[in-house]
Formats: sequence, structure tokens, C-alpha cells
Amino acid sequence: MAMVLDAQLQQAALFKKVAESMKDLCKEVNFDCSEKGMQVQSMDSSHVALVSLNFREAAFAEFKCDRPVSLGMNVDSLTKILKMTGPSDTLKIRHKGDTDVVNFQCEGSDDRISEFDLKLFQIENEHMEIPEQHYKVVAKLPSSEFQKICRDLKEFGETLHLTGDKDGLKFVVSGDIGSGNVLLKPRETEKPEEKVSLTVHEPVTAAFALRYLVNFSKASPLCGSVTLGFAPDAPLLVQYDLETEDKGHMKFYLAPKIDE
Amino acid sequence: MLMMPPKLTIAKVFSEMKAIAHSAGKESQKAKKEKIQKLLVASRGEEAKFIVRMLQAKLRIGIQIPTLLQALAYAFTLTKPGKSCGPAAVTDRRHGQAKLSAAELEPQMIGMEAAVKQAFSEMPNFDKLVAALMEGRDGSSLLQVCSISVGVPVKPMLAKPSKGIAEVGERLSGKRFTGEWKYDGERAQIHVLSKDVIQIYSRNSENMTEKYPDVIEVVKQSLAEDVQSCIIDSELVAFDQVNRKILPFQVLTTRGRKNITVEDIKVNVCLFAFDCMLVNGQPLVKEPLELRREKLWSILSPAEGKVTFAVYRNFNEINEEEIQAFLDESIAGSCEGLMLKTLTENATYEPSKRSLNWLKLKKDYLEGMADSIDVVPIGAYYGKGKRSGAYGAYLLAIYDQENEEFQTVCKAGTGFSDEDLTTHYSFFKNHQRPCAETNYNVNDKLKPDVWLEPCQVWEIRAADLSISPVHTSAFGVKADGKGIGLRFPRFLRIRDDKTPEESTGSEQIVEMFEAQASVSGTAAVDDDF
Repeated sequence: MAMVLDAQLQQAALFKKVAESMKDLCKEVNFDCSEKGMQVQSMDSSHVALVSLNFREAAFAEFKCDRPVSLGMNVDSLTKILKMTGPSDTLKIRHKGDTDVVNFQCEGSDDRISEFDLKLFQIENEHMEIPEQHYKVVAKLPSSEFQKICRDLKEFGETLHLTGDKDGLKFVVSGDIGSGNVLLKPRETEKPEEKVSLTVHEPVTAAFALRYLVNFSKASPLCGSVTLGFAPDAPLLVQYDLETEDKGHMKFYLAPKIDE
Repeated sequence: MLMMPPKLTIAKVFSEMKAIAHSAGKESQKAKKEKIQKLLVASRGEEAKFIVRMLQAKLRIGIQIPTLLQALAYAFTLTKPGKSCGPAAVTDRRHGQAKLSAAELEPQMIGMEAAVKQAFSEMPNFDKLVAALMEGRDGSSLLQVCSISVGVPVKPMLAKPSKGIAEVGERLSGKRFTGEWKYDGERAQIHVLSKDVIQIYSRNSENMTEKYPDVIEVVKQSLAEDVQSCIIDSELVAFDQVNRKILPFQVLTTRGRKNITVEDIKVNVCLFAFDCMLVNGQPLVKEPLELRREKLWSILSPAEGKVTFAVYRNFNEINEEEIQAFLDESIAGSCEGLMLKTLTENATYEPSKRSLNWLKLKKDYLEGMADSIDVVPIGAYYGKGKRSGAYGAYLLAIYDQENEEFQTVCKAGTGFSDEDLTTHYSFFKNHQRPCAETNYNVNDKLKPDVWLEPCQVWEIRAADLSISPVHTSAFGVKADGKGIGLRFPRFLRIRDDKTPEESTGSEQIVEMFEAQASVSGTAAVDDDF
């Protein structure tokens, strides 16, 4: 039987990070494969957040996809399989036509080869057109810093009020024990990933559920910096490149909290 | 919300509901929550209401299963499904060329309804029933595919309550019948699929196999060599292996429900088998009880204290004295009373029917057997469903002279006629109290929706008395930290001639408790409660 998908990643770790960053939001997702690469679009069960992965063909050492195919996988199972891989192992992802499994094979420098056939699911495809957004505020900051802010502030309240204006990017939270905020000012640094940059077309304040932001920020290992984009009454964009821009990106969208 | 999910379809809701029902194991709770959340998020308008009602298994649309069965029967009589390589579908036999008159259709519809109902009682599975109907099966051939089978629990046959021996006499006169002891335990339908696969189902067709690994083991050992499959109807009763005594129902309820291993079992049970609906693939439901019992005795060999048959005595004609004597024996043997069943005539097993061919004669149905008790309503709970808008249940108490307080004995919800409920509500709505009186001794778990002024005395009758962890009457007298409660209270009348302080006292409750056959002589057991 002909191989429909035959892809090889130089480093299994990248795929592992991708799976890890999705698993708290979605249980089962479709990996839509085409000659351009792999794509995932999935919403969480309450339809508040959207995950959109674009894994470009350029990210792979080899990538062959004869015809478009959707591979429905359980994300939890996928992360379990990828746990078998070492940080510098290579990973092969293969799928034969008319079978209901996808094969993962990882090979370490020590000549050890592990292989796993994961059963595929039929998952309803809810492909969504994401309308082009015109963000009023676009900020780029170190991903580890974003993760720390989200985790720290989650201790105090459920809702984050995010403000972007000429002073900088302000994260405000209030809860039972009091209220607090973190202000990030744009800064230039030697290392590009430690830079904070901010573009404000007009000042914006919007509210978001911190619980989701903490989940999004688990994608930090993917890339040193993260891009946030927001506008009044519009979804928040949280974007991580897959190491570098040309390999693709992981985008999270989150509906704003209203009536508060 | 970021984006509205696609509209729900019947097929999707069905498959999600099925997935919820089947999810088990680690984190299944979370998985179920997520599925429910997904359904609710995708629902529009009134859909959410019905999804929640479905999950509660209370649709409340005024249609019950009998209506549905009738509708199916009529639909498949008036229209006929087409076959892929046979006659085309008949859309409506009341019109068109081959039309039938109402007079011709009527008997067909009635016949079909009976067939569908019978098929469903033996094979309570709409999936299979509708599939059989779609094949074009009707009254004559439906039962061939929808008959009782191992692995599919049927609703057990139920008995009609009777008020006394005189009434029993009327109903059974001229028929051969049998009396069986009525054990106070849990009804269990045992399905032997093979010697290694044995399942136990509750009265409500829930799978209890996990709960009774000990019973599975016992059944396996007691089955006769030549039995490959069978279905046995029985009662599981808590049993004291040392003193060879039946224990009260409450003891049985202290058993765990899940992940039970044979080694950890503290409450032993004994299986009392009394009927058999299928042996080696052969349905016996249409056979008379006498034959079914013979079969039952041939496939199971009793083991003392573990599995045995219900004690019975056959009667060729009504003899009130003999029945009374047998009833007294059963009560002395810690049973609830007797089951009286026809033996040969009209003696088939009728799943899910409360048949007149089975009568139960319980000690508390008999007048003069249990003393009535005078109690005071001190709290009420709002009614649900058709009882909403009035109180659906009352918290009842007795008065303890010594401690000068009202102590609870039971919560009474059933045992009221609709008329009673209306009368009580219109009386008590003017006697509410903002909080409990200082002399109310009520466990927090029983906190009623409304507190009532102690101003009326009710005469009630109950099935029996039992040690209760929540009720406060005679607290600590019979068991440390526990009181005595009443089971199955029934309202008799309002006692205008008594004041609340003259209601039954706690010492009387203790006396009645001690006088019960089911606990007399089991003082040693009491300590283990």
C-alpha cells in the first residue's frame, strides 16, 4: 500500500512541544496533512478558545504527502508516545492509505529505534475561517516572561485586564485578597528574544480568562518570544513561532470576557 | 464564545449520550463533564433544557414507554417499511388503492400493540425492537427475534400488594397456588452467559456484577454440570453465617458498591432463588411456575448460607388458617411476609408487569400487626414535578418526655394521596416557622425547606423500625450515635384528639423496635451496626 504521508523531523522534540502545548485545550484533533505541511484547528469544549497550528513543510527534513489526508488523533495518547523520544532523536511520521493507524518511529544517535502505531479517530471536521483581525495593539515579549506573569497573576483572580497604551503593556488582576498589576515597558536588549516591543494604534483594554492564558503559555518551550495581538471586543491572539518563523506557528485565540 | 459550534443533530446527541453512559475508569468524570459541556455549548434555545432533562432521565414530556410502544405498533401497522429487494414501502394503508377500512385495521393495530409490548418486555432494547420491525416482522414473527435472552436484563415481574388474607382468598380462590417467603433484600436477576461469564442485574436493570463478586463465585459453584446458560430471579439477603440468620435490609445497604474484592467483604449475602426464566437458551417465560420451579431446582444445588431456594408451600385451595400460619412462620424467619403465586393456571412469567397472579402479603399491610405511631410534622420539603407548588414530603418527629424535645423518626413523601397533600399544605402553609424551634432535635442532613410549628398529630403506620444514622429518636439507646427510624411510613389520619406532646414517646419506639421479629434475639448483631 502506498505511503500517503512520509515525514521526517530532525528533532522529535519540536513535535513533542507542539503536542504538549495543545493537550490541555483539546482532547482529540485532526492533523490535516497536505503538501504544504500539517495543520490543526480545534476549539476547546466550551468554544471559548481556538488552537491553530501551522506546521510548515519547511520544518521537516523530509516531507512527502501524496494527497490531502486528515489524521484524527487523541492528543493525550500522542504526548504519551512522544515521551518515548529523546531530545535529539529524529522522528518519522508515516501513514499508509486505507489504514487506521499513524506510525511514529524515532531514532536516537545510539542506534535505538522505537516505533509506535497510534490508532486514528474519525473526528468531525469543524474547519473554521479565522477572519483577518486588525489588532489595535501588538506586543512581542519573551515567552518565559509571559508565562510567569500569567502564572503569578492567576493566584489572585480569574480575569486578566490587559491594557496596551503609550506607557506599555499592563496586566491587571483583582480578586478577594486585593488587586495588582504588572507593567512591561518596551525595551531593547542584546538578545533579540529578551526584547519587548509594542505597537499601539490606539489604546485598548480588554478582559480575558487567566485560566486559558496559563494553558496557552505552556507553549513557551516552542519559541523564545510570543506575540500578543488584541483589539476592543475581539479575540486575543497569542502566537508562538515553531522555533523560527519559516517553520510555522502555533496560534491561540481567546474570546474576550464580556459584561464585567 | 469565539465561534458558535455546528448545530446539534439527533444522531450526534445520541452518540454523545451513549459515550457518556459508557465512559468508565480513570478521569471518566472529567470526560463526561467535557462531553456534557460540549453538548450544552452547542445547544440552541430550548435544546439545553432537554439535554439536561435527558441526563436526569426525566424528560417530562408526558410520554412514557407504553405510549411509545403503542405509537411504534400503530406506525408499523398503518405503514410498512419497504425492502431493498422486495415490495416497496407502503406509506399509509388508510388511503390509496389497497386501503383498509378502520374496522379491518383496528384488530391489526391492537394485535400489533400486544406483540410489540410483549417483545419489549422480553427484549427491552429499542435498537433491536425497531430493527426487527423494520425487517417487516409483525405479531407472529416479532417474538422470534425479540425474546428473553441472556445478557439483556428484563424488568422483573412484580406483585400486587394485598390488604389481608381475606382479599387474597378472593383473588386466588379455585386456583392452585403457592406461597413463598418474601425475603427483605435486593432483587437480583442472575444471567449466566456461560460458566465463566455471570452477570447480576438489579430490579432496575442496573449491572450489579461488580458489587457481588462473592455471589458470582457461589453461583458458579452451585450450577449443575449441564447448564450452559440461564436466567434466575432471586433475592439477595444479608446473612449471618455464624448464627445462620437472615439480617435486616439495612445491613445489606452497608456493602460497598464498586471495586469489591471477595476478601474484603464484611457483609455476607445469601441468594434465595425463586424463579427461572431461561435455561440453556430455552425461554421459560411462557411455562407455568410449577415447571419453572422444577427447572430451577434442577439447575442449582443449594449451599448452606450462600445459595438456596425460597421457602415455599403449595396450596390446592384457599385455607386462611394455613396461610396465616405460613405467614407467621415467614415473619419468625425474618421475612417481610409472603408472596402468593398461581402455580399452573395463568402462571407465566410476565416481565415488568405488576400482575394479579402474584400477590404480596406483607406484615405491615395486615391490620393489627404493627402498631400505628403518632407523630408530629415539624418540617416540610417542597415538592418536585407534579407535586411542585405544595409540600412533597414532611419531616416527622415524636416527642421525648424526658428530654422535652421533638426527635425525628422519618421523612414521609410517599404514602399520601393527592388530596392529603393539598389538605396538609393548606393547613401548614399558615403554620410555618422561620427557624427550627429550640426543642427540635434534627440532624443537619435532614434540614427541611420549611420549618413547621408543632401543632398537629398524625397517625401513621410503617413497615418496620430500623437503626438510623440520621434520625434522633431514642438516640444512642440501641446504637451509639444513632437513633431509630421508621421505614415506609404511610399516613393514616390526623389525630385531633392529641396534642403534639402526647405523640408517641421514645420509650415506645424502643419497645416496638425490640418487639420486631427481625431483630429479636440478635442483640449481638446490634453492636456491629
